[in-house]
Amino acid sequence: MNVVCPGDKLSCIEEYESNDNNTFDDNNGIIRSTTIGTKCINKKDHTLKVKSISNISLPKMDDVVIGVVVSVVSSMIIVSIEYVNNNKVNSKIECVCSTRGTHKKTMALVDDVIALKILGYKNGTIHASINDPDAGVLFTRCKKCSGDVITIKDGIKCINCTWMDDRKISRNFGNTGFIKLS
Amino acid sequence: MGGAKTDIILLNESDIRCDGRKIDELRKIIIKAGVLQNANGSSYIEFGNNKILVGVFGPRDVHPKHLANTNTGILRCRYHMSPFSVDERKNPAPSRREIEISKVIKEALEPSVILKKFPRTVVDIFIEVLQADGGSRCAALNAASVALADAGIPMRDLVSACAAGKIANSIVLDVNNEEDQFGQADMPVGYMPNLEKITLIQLDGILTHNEYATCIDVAIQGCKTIYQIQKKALIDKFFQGDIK
Repeated sequence: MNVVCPGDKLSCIEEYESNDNNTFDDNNGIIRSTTIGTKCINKKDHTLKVKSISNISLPKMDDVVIGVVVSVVSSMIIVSIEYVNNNKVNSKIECVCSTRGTHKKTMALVDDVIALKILGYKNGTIHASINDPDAGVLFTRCKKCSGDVITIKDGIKCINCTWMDDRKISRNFGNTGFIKLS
Repeated sequence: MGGAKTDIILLNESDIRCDGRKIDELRKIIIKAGVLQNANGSSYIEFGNNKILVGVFGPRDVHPKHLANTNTGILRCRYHMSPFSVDERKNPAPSRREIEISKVIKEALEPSVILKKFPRTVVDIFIEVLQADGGSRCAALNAASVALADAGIPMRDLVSACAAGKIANSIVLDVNNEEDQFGQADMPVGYMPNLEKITLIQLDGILTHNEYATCIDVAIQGCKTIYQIQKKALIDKFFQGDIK
């Protein structure tokens, strides 16, 4: 086990290549660690990486996040992230999800609980997708009477006032345990 | 040259200082990482009689929103002395000195922290001085650096800090409260030991060119010793001290 701390020398750039997020080149040809973790060397490929021990709570590409819709604008929704891969985070980071090109009138409304898949960082913003089958609204209420809703084809229906509305519903709608806690 | 008049013998004929240390000796240092459950990263330092607790939160959403930078994350630092940290009760409202030290610590950590990966976010550092003796800014900087590493924030290097100074015409390492008040000069230095770069330097007092150069060398040696203690604190937390 090779334990490294931030700033520790891992190798020189002539010897090994590193595309890992946990390493950096110090402009003197030396690869150094940026975090505390263990050094993993692949002598076959001449690559190295640092397996970080303490992870920060920001989502990465392909992570599934669950959050609350904080704003809806014409072609996108903005979601405040509460869970990353089912782990609670307290960073309250926001991501944007494009709703352009979808046939639904309403993908989600403010205060809906929604699952999204992270596409990546672009222009300083976290972009997410709602097109995955697991992605979509996990919990919502009736827009008119705030009553409980059931899913119907391509949307929801209020069991109190029978109001019907469009939503992109997740496969896990109503089945998520954390909603019972909140 | 410099220094207030006092009856305290800061340095005797055998080069022993008022607290019994030699001129190149550090005070006793204990650092613990991960002491707070609700913070993303935390540390506790005992640096002589200084007792300081640091909590790090983030990267997280910036409030107020207009402070957010679309190209990089931002670092915020709050240094605060508890009312019971000094002999007489200290007003808990931020004083000029606390505002200055908050700024100085933030600027000393900025070259080390890689925030480009987290645009529109903030990393908050909260420093609480529980008991103050001389050199609390250096102690706070050491603890803040460990807390940032504990939180998993990417860093180019740990920042170690130590003061050197001049008392009774001699250059000494790690100035304590009496030496700070009645000595001739005090120079806190922040240093990244692996990259060999200085991130903080302040000077209170007057030094000749040679004394200045000696002071820096002495402070850097102190920083290198403290770096080993910081590293050990992190390894003890994450690996329970067993490294092979």
